Amino acid sequence: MTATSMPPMNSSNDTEAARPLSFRERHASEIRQWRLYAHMFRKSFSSMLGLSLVVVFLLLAAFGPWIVPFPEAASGAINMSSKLLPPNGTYWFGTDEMGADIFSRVIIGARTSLWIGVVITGIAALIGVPLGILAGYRGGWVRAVIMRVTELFLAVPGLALALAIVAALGPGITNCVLALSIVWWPGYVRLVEAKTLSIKEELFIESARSIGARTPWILWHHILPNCLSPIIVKMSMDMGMAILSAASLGFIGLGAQPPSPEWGAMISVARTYMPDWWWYSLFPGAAIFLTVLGFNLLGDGLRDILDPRSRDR
Amino acid sequence: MSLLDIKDYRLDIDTFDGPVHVLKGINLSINRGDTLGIVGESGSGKTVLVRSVLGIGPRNARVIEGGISFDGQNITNLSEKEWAKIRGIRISMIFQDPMTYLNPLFSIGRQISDVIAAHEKAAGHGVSPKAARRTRTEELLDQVGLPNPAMLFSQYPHQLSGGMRQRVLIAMALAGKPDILIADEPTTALDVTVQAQVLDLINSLVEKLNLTVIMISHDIGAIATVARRCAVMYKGEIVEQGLTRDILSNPQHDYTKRLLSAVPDIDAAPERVAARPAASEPAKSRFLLEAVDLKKVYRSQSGEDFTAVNSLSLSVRTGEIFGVVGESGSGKSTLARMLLRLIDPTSGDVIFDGQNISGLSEKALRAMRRHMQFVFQNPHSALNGRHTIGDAIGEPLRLQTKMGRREIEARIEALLDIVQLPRLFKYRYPHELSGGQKQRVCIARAIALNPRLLVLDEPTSALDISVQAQVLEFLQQLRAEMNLTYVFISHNLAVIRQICDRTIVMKHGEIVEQGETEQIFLHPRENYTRTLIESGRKTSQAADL
Repeated sequence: MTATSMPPMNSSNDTEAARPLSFRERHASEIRQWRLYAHMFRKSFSSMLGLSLVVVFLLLAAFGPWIVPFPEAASGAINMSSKLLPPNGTYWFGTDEMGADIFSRVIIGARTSLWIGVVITGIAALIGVPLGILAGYRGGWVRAVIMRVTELFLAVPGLALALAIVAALGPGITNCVLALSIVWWPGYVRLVEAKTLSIKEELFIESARSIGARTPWILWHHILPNCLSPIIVKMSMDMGMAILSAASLGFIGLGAQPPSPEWGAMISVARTYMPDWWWYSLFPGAAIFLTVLGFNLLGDGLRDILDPRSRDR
Repeated sequence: MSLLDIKDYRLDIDTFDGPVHVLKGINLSINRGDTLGIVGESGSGKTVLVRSVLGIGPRNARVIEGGISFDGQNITNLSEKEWAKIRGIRISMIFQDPMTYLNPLFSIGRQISDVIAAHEKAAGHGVSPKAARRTRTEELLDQVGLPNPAMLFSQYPHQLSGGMRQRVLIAMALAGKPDILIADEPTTALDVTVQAQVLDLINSLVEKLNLTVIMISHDIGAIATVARRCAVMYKGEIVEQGLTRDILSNPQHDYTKRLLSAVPDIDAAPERVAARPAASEPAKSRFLLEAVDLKKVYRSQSGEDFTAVNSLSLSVRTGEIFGVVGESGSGKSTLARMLLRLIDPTSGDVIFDGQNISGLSEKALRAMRRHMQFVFQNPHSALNGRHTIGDAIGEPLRLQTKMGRREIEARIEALLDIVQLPRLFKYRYPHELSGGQKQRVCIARAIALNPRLLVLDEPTSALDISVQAQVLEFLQQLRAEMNLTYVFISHNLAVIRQICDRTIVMKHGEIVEQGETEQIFLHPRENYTRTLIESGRKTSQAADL
């Protein structure tokens, strides 16, 4: 019966085994999956818009200092002869009260924002994900302790807590990033714990235990890979929010200090020049707006394509 | 004129890899009062077909050609508004798993009354008062043979058994007094004894209400008990249709023949693949696995105790296939997991090869696991979707041996050969494989470490019948080749009879009867065993006409 309905594959196997498989053949599944992701992503206008905004932002962060017309503007060079000029052919976004080119300062500011975003979400995920997995998988008092501490942090408004921490450590961009990282991780614990709780009931976890896998092996090889998509989505959305929060701290004078080209700090100074010298606050504001929008749209798009229901398509 | 007419119906589903031709020119007509069965395996397109009749086909579907007309009206491309006048009122449907189709938050009565109200609204009359709807609901519940409708009215889905839920679903489907009732695998999720009852109910409704029934199932026995006419679907085509009796006794198409021969027969004495004599093995004892006074008590949150397995003792001889049969809730899965200590028993001992494993430390137990492996019921969820097949099969080797990368790769390929899958599969992901292929992967994973004992928990119940036959055949070969001992758990008596040497029958966590499999089937001593065999025979015999 078996022989007739399931023809032995040896004949084709032997010829295949003789020739090493090409990369394309070995990874046919992955290639198809990535093409499917790209196909679904391209169909959505907002996802593509988000991706383009993020790509532009990343390019500016990478090459900003070399492409701007007035690189010295970033270090607080003073040129009183050209102070507070409206946007024109030389100074595309106008100039500030020190006569520095706002266009150059906004573009160089992208790099600051990028590292703020990466460091905050990175630290938050590094703290939050292991705690979440541990809480979800172990249960019992371990979970109780981790989740109660998490809830304690979530109960206090994040920005207010960060404010208190910066006030204690003293203003400055490093302290600001540190404070925001400390208040950012609880979200990841919540997310990963919920995901772990559902994954650990899956049959393949029991299957792994039945072949003698230890807990760390199961966490690393089975639970973590299956938690990855929501983590990626949350991190991309959090990039935008983290940049916005750092700018907010900069705006009230607790983040980056004025001559440094940080968008929040720039608006902080610019607010005294509203509304007559509108360009001073408009352009840094627009930069924040577009960056946050870009990361949020990107996150939305990623969530749509990483949705498990789309995998079988 | 026929009530439902499907003409040259061709349907494509658009996917990323291009359109898939799901239905390829279906021609089918059903007269009033007819009972039609559609038999086919998963992926044959039977569900898509009946769902199109109700206008609830898949989202990316496209009708290429042909159409469906119902009672003289073309219903191929109706608007949602027009559908509302047909769905549930003229054509209604019952589904496979009754639990997922009932809302756990509302009482049975409320859910059926709401359906009645919705139908009245769609028909354009005013909605009748609550009391009138309640009377009608109780009538319906009575019609489907549920006892005490007045009490049932205020009960919730979780308070009912699977069979009762399916009856509630049928009552709901009858609420609009439909012309056609479509039943999509109505008995698949139910126990054998309950299956027979639900099929009887459908039969009696056909007579009483002059209902037209379309029933789809992969179970030919179920179709044969209900349907007078029958259509066999294979890869989107109807390969054969006619009177059920004729098709079963004299199948014309090759596929039908193959399908019929794959159905395990409860009344056939098995022809076994002879295992190599176990005597060649220097076994420490005659019994490979013994359970002594095994007990598992679960404590629910309300503090009540539930005994899943109660003081159960058994012994499995080296080299035999030991069957465990019982209905859902009999504790057989709990027993299986305790035998391998995947869950800890409340009390009692498990002795494997002369060693008591209930007292072993975590570390010793992990080492012990290489000799005893588990094959799970549902191969679709037993494999991690993020791992390739090669990773899945190689995982036990990575965990339990010190083999190098190359050795493991070679062993993975050897194992794929053993389970008769192409070597190329090691680069594939589980979702690209069919159910039977996935189960082979699970078996390859289980035998990777050359274990001595395999516990198989309903290894074929999630698979199609022809695939089930292949897997069973393969399991028997494998046992002979690798000197394995099986504990084989199933609710399907025909399968048990086909392959098991000795069998225990379980009910409510206890052994009802045990002995040689043939003895149990030929001369059952207990009433419960007899009922079980009778119910199993009922559908099996119908298919055997």
